[in-house]
Amino acid sequence: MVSGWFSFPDFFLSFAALLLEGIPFLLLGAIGSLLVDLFLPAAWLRGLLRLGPRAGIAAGCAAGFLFPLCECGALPVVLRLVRKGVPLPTAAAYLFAAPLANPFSLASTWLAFRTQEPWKVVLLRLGAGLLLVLILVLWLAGKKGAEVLRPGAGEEPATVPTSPSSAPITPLQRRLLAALGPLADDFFSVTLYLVIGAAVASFLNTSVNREWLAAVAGNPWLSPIATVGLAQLLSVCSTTDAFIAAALPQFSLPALLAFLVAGPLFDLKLLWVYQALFPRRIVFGIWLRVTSGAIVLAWLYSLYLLHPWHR
Amino acid sequence: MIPSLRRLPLVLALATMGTAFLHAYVSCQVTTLLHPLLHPLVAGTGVLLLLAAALFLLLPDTERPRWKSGRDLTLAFVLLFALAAAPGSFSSLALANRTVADPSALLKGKGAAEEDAATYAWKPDGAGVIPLEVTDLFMAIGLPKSMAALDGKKVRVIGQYDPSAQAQAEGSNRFHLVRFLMFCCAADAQPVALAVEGTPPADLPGMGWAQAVGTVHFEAMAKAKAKTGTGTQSPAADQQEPVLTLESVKAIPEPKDKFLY
Repeated sequence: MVSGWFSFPDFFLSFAALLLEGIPFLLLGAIGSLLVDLFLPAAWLRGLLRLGPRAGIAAGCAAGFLFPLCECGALPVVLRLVRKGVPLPTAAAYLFAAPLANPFSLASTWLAFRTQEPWKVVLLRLGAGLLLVLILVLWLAGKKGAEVLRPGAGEEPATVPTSPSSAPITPLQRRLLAALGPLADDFFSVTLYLVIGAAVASFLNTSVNREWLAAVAGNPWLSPIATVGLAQLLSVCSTTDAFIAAALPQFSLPALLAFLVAGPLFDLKLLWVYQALFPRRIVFGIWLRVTSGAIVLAWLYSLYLLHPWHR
Repeated sequence: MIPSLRRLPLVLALATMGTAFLHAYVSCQVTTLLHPLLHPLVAGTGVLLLLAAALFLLLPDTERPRWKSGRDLTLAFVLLFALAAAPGSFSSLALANRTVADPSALLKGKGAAEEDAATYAWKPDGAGVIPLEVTDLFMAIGLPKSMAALDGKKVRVIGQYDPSAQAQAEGSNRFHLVRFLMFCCAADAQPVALAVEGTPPADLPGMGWAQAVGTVHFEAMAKAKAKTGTGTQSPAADQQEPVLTLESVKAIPEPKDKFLY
């Protein structure tokens, strides 16, 4: 017999599962960002500086695929690239493309949808996502540098500080601290958002009757709006969000695609993270383009699926 | 020399999370939370987090803001608490909230057998009963030879007892045996409920584990829903559902694998 509308044990079973599933991917992302940070060849960086705007955007997107970083891990690298003089559209292309195109996100998307045409979902996510990245970067490239960059974003970071009471540190220790400190920070700061997202997802997952949700989910016009809103509210890392999308079987593939594309490009977490690089006006512009773009793409995909050609 | 306490929160947070991951793996709690494909990731994460904790313990102190130490420890505590509070299976509320109209469609996405074959090897045990999972019966839907091979056979299945069908349809002599089917993790687990025709033991608690033996037949889903009183979505007219005509049922202890994968 069912009584009440909420069960704490169910919530914790779902919550613990999402944490146990998501945290390993976050750790992999943090380690990946560390490796990129340590081993990015200087010659590649010089090559980036010489690229024109269009080639720079293409290089930024390709770098997103080659260097496995999620949206949070990418920002410190992008800040560093901008400080070293890499054109902002190139760096921004990497910032936006990395969470969508990195192999960890692609692998987790494949894993999550492995029983539901995984390659189709992976390719659709990648294609639709990169299209939105292109729209964002071309929009940014059309603006003046001072308009787009937050004041102070080009300042060099402080060196690794140590406690005044501690003994002098060796060069090896300094290098280890410089490497591991940001790794731990990246890991915990993103884990915070995963915990919040997993809690919200678990609450909805266990307390909302899916037959009721199906009423909204079944509407091809409303469901992408619902999933984009959900993705931006949950703020789950791009290496993890596919698992949550796969747990929403009541939504159609176009609506889930909107979830998978919009979340990595803009969410409540990135609303704050992006402000480390961009002024608020630009952040609002990014939100507007990501949200409307993801919804429109999902609508177009729904129309295609409904069209007699496809049937 | 007494080590400074400044680095300890970070070390403690990493060590706590690492231990929690390893404990979940070693104690097999991970089987109720994640698909087996992801289990090695849990063990690996535990080891890496413990290694990171050891490294930070050996390194000199760093100036770390207090709010970060508080955040790290809080997150470790949240993980620990969530794992401690997580039960081995879902309640009847999750079952009610997650019930899908057509489990066989769900199983097709899960990679159910596409090939229809009468020789689908259903081998009876010494007592002449075929041991099956609930999902095996739904996987046969839409495959005429497989359905014919099972129709009228005596089978044994286990599942969680769901009396809601009886509660909802007064006079009904049906209940459900439910298994949760996990895709990636428990958060996405979907219930697969087998209709059982017969009277369950009076002392069997709701969502308690039971083993039923009976004869399988297939009937139109609309008819089955009308009898059990469940399902708000209208199934297709030709959609079929397996039903077990009960011969015996008994309560059993929780099985090792509480979820199907």
